Amino acid sequence: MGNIAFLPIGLEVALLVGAIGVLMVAVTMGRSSRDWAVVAGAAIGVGFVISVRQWVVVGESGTQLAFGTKGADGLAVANQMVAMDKFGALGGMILMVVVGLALIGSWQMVKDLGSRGAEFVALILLSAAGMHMMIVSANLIMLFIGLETASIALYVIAGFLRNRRGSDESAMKYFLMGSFASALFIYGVALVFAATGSTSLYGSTSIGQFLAGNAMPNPGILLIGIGLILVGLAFKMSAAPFHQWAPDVYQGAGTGAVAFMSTGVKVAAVAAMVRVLYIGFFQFYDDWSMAVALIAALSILVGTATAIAQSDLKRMLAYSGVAHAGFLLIAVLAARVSLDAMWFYLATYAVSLVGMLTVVTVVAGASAGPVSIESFRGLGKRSPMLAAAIAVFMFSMAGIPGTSGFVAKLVVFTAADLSGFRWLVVLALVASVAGLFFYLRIIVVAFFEDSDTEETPLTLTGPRIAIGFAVAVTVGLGLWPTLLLDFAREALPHL
Amino acid sequence: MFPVLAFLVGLPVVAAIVIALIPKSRSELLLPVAFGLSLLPLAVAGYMVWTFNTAGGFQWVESTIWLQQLRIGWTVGVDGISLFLVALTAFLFPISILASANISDRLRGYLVSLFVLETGVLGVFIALDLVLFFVFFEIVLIPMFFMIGIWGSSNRRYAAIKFFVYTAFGSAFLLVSIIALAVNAGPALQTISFQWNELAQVPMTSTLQTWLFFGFAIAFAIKVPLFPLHTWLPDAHTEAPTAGSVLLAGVLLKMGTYGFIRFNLILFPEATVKYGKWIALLAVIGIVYAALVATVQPDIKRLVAYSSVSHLGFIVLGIFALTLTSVQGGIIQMVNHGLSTGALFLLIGMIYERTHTRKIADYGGLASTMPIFSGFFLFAVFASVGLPGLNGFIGEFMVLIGSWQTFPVLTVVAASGVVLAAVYLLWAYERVFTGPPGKANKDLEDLNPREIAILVPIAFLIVLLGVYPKPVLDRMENDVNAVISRIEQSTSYERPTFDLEGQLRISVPAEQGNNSSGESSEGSE
Amino acid sequence: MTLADYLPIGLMMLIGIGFATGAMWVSWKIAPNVPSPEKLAPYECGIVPLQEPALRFPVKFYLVAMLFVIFDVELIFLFAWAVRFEAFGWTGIAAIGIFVALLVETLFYVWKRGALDWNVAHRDRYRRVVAEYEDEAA
Repeated sequence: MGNIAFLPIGLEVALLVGAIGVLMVAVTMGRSSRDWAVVAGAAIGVGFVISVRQWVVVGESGTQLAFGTKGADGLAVANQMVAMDKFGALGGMILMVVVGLALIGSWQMVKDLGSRGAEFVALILLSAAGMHMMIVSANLIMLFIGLETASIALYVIAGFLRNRRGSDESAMKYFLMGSFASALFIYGVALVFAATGSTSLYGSTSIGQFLAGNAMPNPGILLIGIGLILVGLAFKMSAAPFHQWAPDVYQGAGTGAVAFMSTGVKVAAVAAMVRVLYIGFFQFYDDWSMAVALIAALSILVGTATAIAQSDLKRMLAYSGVAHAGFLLIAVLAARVSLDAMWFYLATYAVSLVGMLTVVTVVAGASAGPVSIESFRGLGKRSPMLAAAIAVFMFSMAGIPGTSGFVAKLVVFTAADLSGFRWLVVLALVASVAGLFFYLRIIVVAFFEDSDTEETPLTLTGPRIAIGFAVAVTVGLGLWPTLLLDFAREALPHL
Repeated sequence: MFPVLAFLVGLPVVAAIVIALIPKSRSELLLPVAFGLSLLPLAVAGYMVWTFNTAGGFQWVESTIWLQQLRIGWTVGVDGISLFLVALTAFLFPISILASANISDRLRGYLVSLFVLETGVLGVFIALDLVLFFVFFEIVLIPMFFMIGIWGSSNRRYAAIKFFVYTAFGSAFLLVSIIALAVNAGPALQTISFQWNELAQVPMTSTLQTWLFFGFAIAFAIKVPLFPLHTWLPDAHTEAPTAGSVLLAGVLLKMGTYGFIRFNLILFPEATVKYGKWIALLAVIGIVYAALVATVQPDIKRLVAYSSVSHLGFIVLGIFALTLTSVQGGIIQMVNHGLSTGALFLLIGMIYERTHTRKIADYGGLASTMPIFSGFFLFAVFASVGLPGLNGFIGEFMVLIGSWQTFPVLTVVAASGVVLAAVYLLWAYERVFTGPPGKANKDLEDLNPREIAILVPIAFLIVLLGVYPKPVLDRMENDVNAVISRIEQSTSYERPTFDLEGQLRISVPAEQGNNSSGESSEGSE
Repeated sequence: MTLADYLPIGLMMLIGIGFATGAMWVSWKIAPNVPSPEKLAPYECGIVPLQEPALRFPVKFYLVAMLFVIFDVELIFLFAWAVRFEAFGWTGIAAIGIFVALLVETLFYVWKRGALDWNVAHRDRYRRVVAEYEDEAA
């Protein structure tokens, strides 16, 4: 082993140290949430810097694999666990931005939690570390460990407001269904191993090498394995029909927690899915692309149709998240021609959603459970800036030009059309028009209706920064998408 | 070269920012500053009309690639087809701002919406990149949505959502078609490109052409609106504030008809020849149907809204008749309709501010209490009906003459729309203005100088275009000719020529000369 | 891959589902069902139950049990490392050191939060934590 390069897992280490640091600071020195904020912020900042450093190093000396074991001959290193590439580096940067924004926006919830707030922050950092592990894992087992690290922390976060009715129920639901999905995932890994004799994505003994060298006349077991892996990841990104947990969890968990859990896990699951499917199972593109397309179509239809009927804002956002999971799956298909489209969609949707949920924390309170759409009534008069931010986010999610959401849809759909999924593009675009009903409804309530109260929601500095940043990104990337697209074009995984 | 078009579209953006930055304490400055700023695009547009080279083709072309890998970019240019729509847009915005003096609630947001709207509409008419076109086409929805929803009348929420979703539904098909078009052209162009001029070079199978033709047509048909897709329009027009109605009728609907010419006719000539008659049929059904519905409307604003549907039918008929006269007539009718219907909506807005009712039955005898107002109203009605000497006549006459050669039966039916227009508009005039004034209407004040100042420029243009349309027709002739020649080259279509007793053949440009001289002589009566 | 290749999978699923549901259905159909109060009573080795079956344990039992399991598992790893510690060298010491440090840190945190206080009702720290939770609940 000897000389271990820690850069490939530097981000995970930084977050882990940060999490422990927050807990230690909380029980020894400071009981003020300000002290934890410094530690957590430092961890996230260091994590971001490490991601940038990874990007630079990969740019100079190419991608590299790390943390393998010695082979039988004692020299060659096989079964690499972690890949350091621009794919993982960009994923890390996006994750850090999202985590940072979510924490800044929902810091009020951490304050409300008292001394347990430190645990909340630590869990978020641990979960983020797990998510990044999913993105960089070079082995299906490693991917599973990342998935579980992220998920277990999320189960606890979902039930953190245990004094409120509904929170524990939704956490329990999330835990049970999530465990089931994890079990399916690991079963899928086992079947893949049974079929190919490998769980590794890279190297001489990888799945891809096996598939390239051996024609499989009866790939049934392998296909079931791929299918179960897909199910496990689709569950995490709340794609239909594996989405039932999302509305309850969004509604039950505190709004401040939702901002992180709804976005981070999507980023991780989508990126992991791209790496596994394209690196591991590219020979079976025709088979899995059809499955992904069907899940995408179903997610878009179910998410859009159900979101229209919601009167609770967080349930609405959860179902709209299901529809967006469908769009993201289209982006996964489109990644064959254009990976930057996928990154663009992922990053801009995550930022818009965090921004929107931060607005919700401001209007309805960071620890609020159910948030009726009615609570936005008359916001256009009470707080024009907040209402304008809502309009920007809703238009972006609906894909109206001038926002990043439009460019994201444009590039993804163009790439999907190029890959031959025109039926999916037509379906997605028509569904996104139906989606206007619920996105516009919030704008209508906020701008076109008068409220009984004159009360102006109090916007603290933290949420203000988070919302401002999210608006700037949403509009800025809507007008100058090349800023991110040119950057993301290089974010290829190790091959 | 100075980027005239970027300047033109940028001015409203700058104006919106300036308006947003005026401090709350100086809110009395909002309207005057906005009016002043809105004159700048008008000046640029005037300069463009003045210096436009009548040889045609795209002028003031700018091309900058914005997204290299998809070849999307700021590619803009103005030709004879779009020139007057740009001018009309720039002309109607200052008027709309003047007509908004009574808006007190959130005036700043209202003016910002107006300028964003102007940006969008101008962009639509100059864009030569399909994605750029789509962006502007959609951006227009946002300010209009807010204008209807915040500053509209009682049923505004319903109307705003209906307007937005209806139009966005069409846009979804437009976007799919644009993407499919670019992907189809990918192999031929060696790259994905959304440049209009590059895409127009690439041939496509007739099946694909048919699909894409209808994909584009749905979006534009909703915007125009054509007969079965028109139901959003009466609600939106009726609920919108005055300026919103004026701009909806004046320029927003033209985005659909303009799109038909710029995209359907040029990109899909084969499908246009094949299926144009069905679109023309829908247009004619719309002309008659909307005219009949307008006749029985109890609400004056709704009546004018339906008259818009009817008039827009003429334009679409003219476009798909594919003769020089009819297409030119269609284009000039776009401008005419913007002026005359704009004037009608302005007038209805003025009377609504005084009485707060739009029911025709609540009025009566206004001619005696408000003579200036009724004079302008009658003038606008005549322009809309198509009285010779006023602009409406030129457009409708050219459309009917031109379409006769391609669709004789449809044209006969469409001509009945002219008669019906006279019926519903003059009947409405009679009910509102003649007879003894009712109690409620006795003390109405006549138009004040500001309102007269709004109407006089429109009236002037109505007469000018009615009497001397030649400069307008000259500027668009070559470009329209090019569109039709293009269709003739790529399909078996040949434009009909006059065939009098099998001997006298008059070529089309000569026929064109006949028309314009004929109209100017009639105008001088 | 043609559709026919999936046939064995489909058959397998059908047989599996069919067997499970079939067995349940058959046993439900053919089993005699004659309930009586004795049969419906909870099974307590033939003795009539006198009290609610579930006893309530103080929550600290669970906490201690969990800590026990964590350190039990730690031992497994330590044992595996100890057998070959020479081969791993200093790197191995560092790695296992990090591992142990993480667990010690956990113990420290738990201790500081008062989870190891047994006779909790009398301790200041316990009262403070309870008061915090009550604040939060209010």
